[in-house]
Amino acid sequence: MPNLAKHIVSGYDSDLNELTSSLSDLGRVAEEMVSKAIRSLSQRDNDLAKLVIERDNLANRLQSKVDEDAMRILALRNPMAMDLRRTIGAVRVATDLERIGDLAEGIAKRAINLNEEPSLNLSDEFERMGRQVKTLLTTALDALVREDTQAAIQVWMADREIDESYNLIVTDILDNMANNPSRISAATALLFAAKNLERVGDHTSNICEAIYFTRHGKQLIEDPAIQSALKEKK
Amino acid sequence: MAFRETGHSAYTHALRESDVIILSTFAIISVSIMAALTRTPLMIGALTIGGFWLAAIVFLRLSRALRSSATPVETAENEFMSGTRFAATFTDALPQAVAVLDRDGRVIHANPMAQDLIDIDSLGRPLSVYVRDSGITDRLSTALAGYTPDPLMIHQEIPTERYVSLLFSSVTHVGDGSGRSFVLVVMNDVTELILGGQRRADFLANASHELKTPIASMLGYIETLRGHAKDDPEAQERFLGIMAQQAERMQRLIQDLLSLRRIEQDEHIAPTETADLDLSIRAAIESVAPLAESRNITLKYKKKKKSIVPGHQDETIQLCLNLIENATKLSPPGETVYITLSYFEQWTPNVPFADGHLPETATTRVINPAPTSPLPLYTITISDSGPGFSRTHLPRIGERFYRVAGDLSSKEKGTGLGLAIVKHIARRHRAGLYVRSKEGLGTEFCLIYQEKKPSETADTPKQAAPSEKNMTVQ
Repeated sequence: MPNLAKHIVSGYDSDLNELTSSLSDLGRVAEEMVSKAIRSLSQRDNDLAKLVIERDNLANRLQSKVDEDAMRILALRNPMAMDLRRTIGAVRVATDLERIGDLAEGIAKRAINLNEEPSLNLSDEFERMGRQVKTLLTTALDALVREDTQAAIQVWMADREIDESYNLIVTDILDNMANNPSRISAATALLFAAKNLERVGDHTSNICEAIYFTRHGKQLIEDPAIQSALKEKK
Repeated sequence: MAFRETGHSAYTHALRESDVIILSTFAIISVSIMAALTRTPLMIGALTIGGFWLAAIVFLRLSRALRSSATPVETAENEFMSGTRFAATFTDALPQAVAVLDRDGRVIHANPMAQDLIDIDSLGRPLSVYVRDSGITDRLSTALAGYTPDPLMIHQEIPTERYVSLLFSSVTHVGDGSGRSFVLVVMNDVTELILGGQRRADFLANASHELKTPIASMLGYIETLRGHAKDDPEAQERFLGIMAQQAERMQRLIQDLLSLRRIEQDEHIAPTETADLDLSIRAAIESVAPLAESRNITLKYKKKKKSIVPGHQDETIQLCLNLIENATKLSPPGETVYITLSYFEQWTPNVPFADGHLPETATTRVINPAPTSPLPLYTITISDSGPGFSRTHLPRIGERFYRVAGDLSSKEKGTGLGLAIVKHIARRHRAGLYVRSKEGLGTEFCLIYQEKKPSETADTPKQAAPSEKNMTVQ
């Protein structure tokens, strides 16, 4: 087991560690918001939805904390190479995580609207897509703190599946709209919620790109494995 | 420094900022004194260096004397080192997952059970790297303030659903007089406690729901046999045949439900034993052979290497059996089912379906993500040329009791649990499971197993593998 404390000045190490834990806290909050937002919609639970909306403040606070921590490191420690990329990467990931929190809040708001009306019978599909997105987000966050670029590549590649699920759910919702014009407002709310979920997936792949860049100093898309996989697909 | 060499994994003590400042101040003062006293340029260099070292030695002596108040320096150091080492071996021997954190929440020691439980691969990182929970910071500061915080319950959903409870308490090191505080974290896997009840309820609900229909229809036939068909031997024979079929289906259903429950129960515990994939595939092919023969389907098996992976032998057989049986049932008569076992040095995005037979345009879905550690991998690819799943059905594969509409499998006596069992076994073995399908062309499943870690191969059961490279069952 390698031991990671390594800078001569121990204050530098604890600053970097502090940054990692703030980022990990933010990740946890975003993850919780997404899973609760999905549940609030599929289980028609308004209390859960309100909880998610309240949580958004915390996510914003944690993001500014990560920003401040990163800024302090840049100003005082003059980080180089990996440390520099790690600091910049943390700022990028925090922005994405905060956006993910906002999107979860959006889903929760739609859920409250939807719960006022009778159910649309599409919540199973939504829940399935939600589970997919949440799995990717959790894997990406694990990859982030462990700097596991292989897992990051996997998650990045799997984003296509989210898009696929999104297209399927859109088809279902459109069918539903065509068949029950009276329920069109509810169906639209669900459509927006699904779109938000798909956006969470996109931000998750952004996080994966940041993980890869932090570790290797190169863009993820330039990775030889990805290149060959993409070539094969064409 | 007294703490520099405390062993590779105990903890490191870097120079503090204040130390560096004091040290440099000493150096500057001594250099200027030397420079003022000596006028000859030749002497300046030599005396500068000498002065610096003098200052450094004085400083180190001073700091040691301050830290180890009355006891002689040497004894304190030995005592401290043996103390930490003893504590480390002591926690390693405990039948309980324990980790030690420093004041900043970094993991400075973790016993093997803790390493396994929350997957710690390197020391010196904050605890929140391994378990993400917003309550950690809170609990840590409470413990360091000298109070006992409430246990923290951590809920993980990946790779399998799991609950871990963490107890924090602080320990102050008094032996060396430094008064350093550490935090002891005691971890418990409480998954069974929390999910057990829920799973039992699910099992009962599933069992009663699925058995309701066949029992109702059997009751209907019994009614008829007692009434109208009382004196009609031909009808009696026919109805008894149907009843026997229904009873067999119920029996299969109960077997599947029971094995699913058993696998699910241990899912959060990674297997410690090893399995031979080649052997499992052969055993599975042998059991499917009669069915394949009756349906005139060829099973083609290609293997590349011996394959020892972490897993349970019987479970890998069941996993291969379910997949190969499905493929055999779904392929039209006269077709071939391809089973390929391959070896890869490392994971790349091309590993899944590297041996596939479907065109690249087939839709792929990840049921369980593949392990991404740098260990070599084995993949099992099973391709059929059945009707294939449409894009709409693909996301639901592996769900309990999910059967594709039109229900091909009910004709072939399926219970709708086969793939759910496959999914849960793969999860328990920490193996990846991918599916891809093209309507009209067929379906392929790909299992990705990690090779057994090299340090643990000593106790692998040696299996005499048959020598031929290809085995064809007609």
